[in-house]
Amino acid sequence: MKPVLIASLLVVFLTACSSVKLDSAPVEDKSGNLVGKGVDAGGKGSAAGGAGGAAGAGGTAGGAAGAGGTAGGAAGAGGTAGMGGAAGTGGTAGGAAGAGGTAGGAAGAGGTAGGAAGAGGTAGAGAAASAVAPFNTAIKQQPVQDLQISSKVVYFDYDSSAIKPEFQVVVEAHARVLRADKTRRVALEGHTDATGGREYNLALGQKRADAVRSAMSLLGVPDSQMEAVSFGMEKPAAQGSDEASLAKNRRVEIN
Amino acid sequence: MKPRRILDLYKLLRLVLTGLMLLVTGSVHAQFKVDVTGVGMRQLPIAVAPFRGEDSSPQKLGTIVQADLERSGQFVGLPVGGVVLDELSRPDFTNWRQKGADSLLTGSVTRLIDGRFDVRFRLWDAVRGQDLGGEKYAVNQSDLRLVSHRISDFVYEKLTGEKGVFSTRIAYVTRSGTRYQLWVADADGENAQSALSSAEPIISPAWSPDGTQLAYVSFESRKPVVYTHDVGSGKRRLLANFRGSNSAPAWSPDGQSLVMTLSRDGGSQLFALSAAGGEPRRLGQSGSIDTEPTYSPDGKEIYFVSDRGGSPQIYKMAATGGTADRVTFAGTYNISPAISPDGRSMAYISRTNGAFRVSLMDLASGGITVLTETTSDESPSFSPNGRLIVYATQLDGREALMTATLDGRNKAKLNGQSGDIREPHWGPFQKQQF
Repeated sequence: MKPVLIASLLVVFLTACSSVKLDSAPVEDKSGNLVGKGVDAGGKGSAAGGAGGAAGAGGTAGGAAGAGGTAGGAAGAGGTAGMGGAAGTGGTAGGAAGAGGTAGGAAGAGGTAGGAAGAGGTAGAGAAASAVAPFNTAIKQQPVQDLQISSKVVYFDYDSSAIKPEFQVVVEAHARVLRADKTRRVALEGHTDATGGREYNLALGQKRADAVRSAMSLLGVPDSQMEAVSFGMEKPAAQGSDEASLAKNRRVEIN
Repeated sequence: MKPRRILDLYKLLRLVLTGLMLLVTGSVHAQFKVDVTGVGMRQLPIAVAPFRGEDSSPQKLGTIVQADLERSGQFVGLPVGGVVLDELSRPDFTNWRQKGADSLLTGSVTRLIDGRFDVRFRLWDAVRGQDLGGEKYAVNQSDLRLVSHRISDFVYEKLTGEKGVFSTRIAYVTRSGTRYQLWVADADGENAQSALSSAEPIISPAWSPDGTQLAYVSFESRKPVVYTHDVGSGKRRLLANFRGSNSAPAWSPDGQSLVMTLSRDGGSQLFALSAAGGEPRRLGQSGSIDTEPTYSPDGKEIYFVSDRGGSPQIYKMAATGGTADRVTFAGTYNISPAISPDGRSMAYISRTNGAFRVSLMDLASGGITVLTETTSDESPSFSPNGRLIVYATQLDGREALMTATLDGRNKAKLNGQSGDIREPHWGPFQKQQF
């Protein structure tokens, strides 16, 4: 993954964080999504670590931001600095990011996600040549009852069933839990926005659910543990016809 | 059946002028009657007198009949003033001709001792002063609307030569809050009876060819499954509950099987399934979405929607499966095909500049007419005589049902339940029920 892309994703995440309250525990759906992004961003931070060294701290910062607190925002800034390092200048920027990360850890009181993401960052530093491996390492180091599993929604672009990179982590988290517990069953429920016909949207939602199923299958989850179904446009998560609402409806819920 | 033609302005003007000239000579109505070229525009002027006794009847039969006839787009109702006529009256035809009437309907409704209602009518050719026939019925109060629609059918068939669809039924779905209901209503949207009520969505109702059953998709088990439902008895059967999604049922014209979309083998693909249940037979194999199948009226072909070309378009293939031919080429979003009973036209939803509209394709020439100006049309379905299309749309922020003539000139909103009304499907001709 190119550093620039990673940088832009992190910036997007941080922007999202700054506009949403982060002080609640990751219990409800909404904050669940948020945590998903937070953890996700942590993962990105660790990937950046692969490029910049400083991004290990960026990862910590992202994780802390996900876990909550105003200081998380500050730590997020650290993450941004980390990205700067990744993108080019390296050492110095990395130092700044490290500071940010520390601040985040202290003020945000860390938590599992913060710790794990921090570890991811470290791992990232260790696997400087690869943008993918540290990402997975970060996940492995998290306990099973981690925060990622509390994110159960994968969002999609308009008329698309491609799983975006930032949601791969959600799929992986669920795949891991399913592999660990063969008695678990999940329904992968595809949804669309309200644009267009009901039956075609049902098929489009199915395509999204099937995409998540295929991804889980590639990660070693047996088909017997998953059923991909679709609700089409019938069960919107958000009412309203603005793009933000529509985007919230284009999703697969892992239940 | 001749394809409908839209009169251009010149022809219309000529018709009007001819009409005015003939009006002077007093034979305008005869002229209109023999004119068969302007089918798209020609509306038969009819006077429907209030039925004698309808003031004390639960239903205003004359009003129902006139509304039926006008909704067809083929009639224009004339004001009749306060005249009291019934099926036994001998009307003053000179007077009715002067009012502009080609035809005159008279009748009566009388409550019988057993509580039923005696309904009688007579249709007159006001131009020739000729009795075109009449009927009488003794019906329960709850059938007074149905008998009105029967009378409309009688009038329509006598005067246009085609069967009327007023006594047919339309199935549709309402959503009110989190309550979903499947309704069976008269063709004017009234007299709705609930067939199914659910806390989860219901979509895609489809009438069996004999009009006794509905197939539909219900989400009551947290996934889409297909039921068939005997409307008269309320008994229903789980027809398709395979792994994954089960949706978009359509009956074969012989009623023996259904074609539908199943995702059980991965992806939304088309399968045929006996109406008695059993193992589905796969009809095609594509790595893309295939859905919304519908049979041609002769049962030989299946039209369906696929995104195999990169955007949703309508294709057709042999009913036994095999290779598919693309049918729609204009635009990047064409869905929900319905084939007219004569097999010549296809109604479907087409997206143009972000608006979803009912369009009509002449299947022989490929010519396309956009029938509506609304922007969120869905689910077009032909009346069994092929003269009207019912569809769902958004009116003033609510989901509503409308009918349109095939030239798009005449549209009417169907009355019905409160709340959002959607997913209409027009049922077949009904057998006489009383």
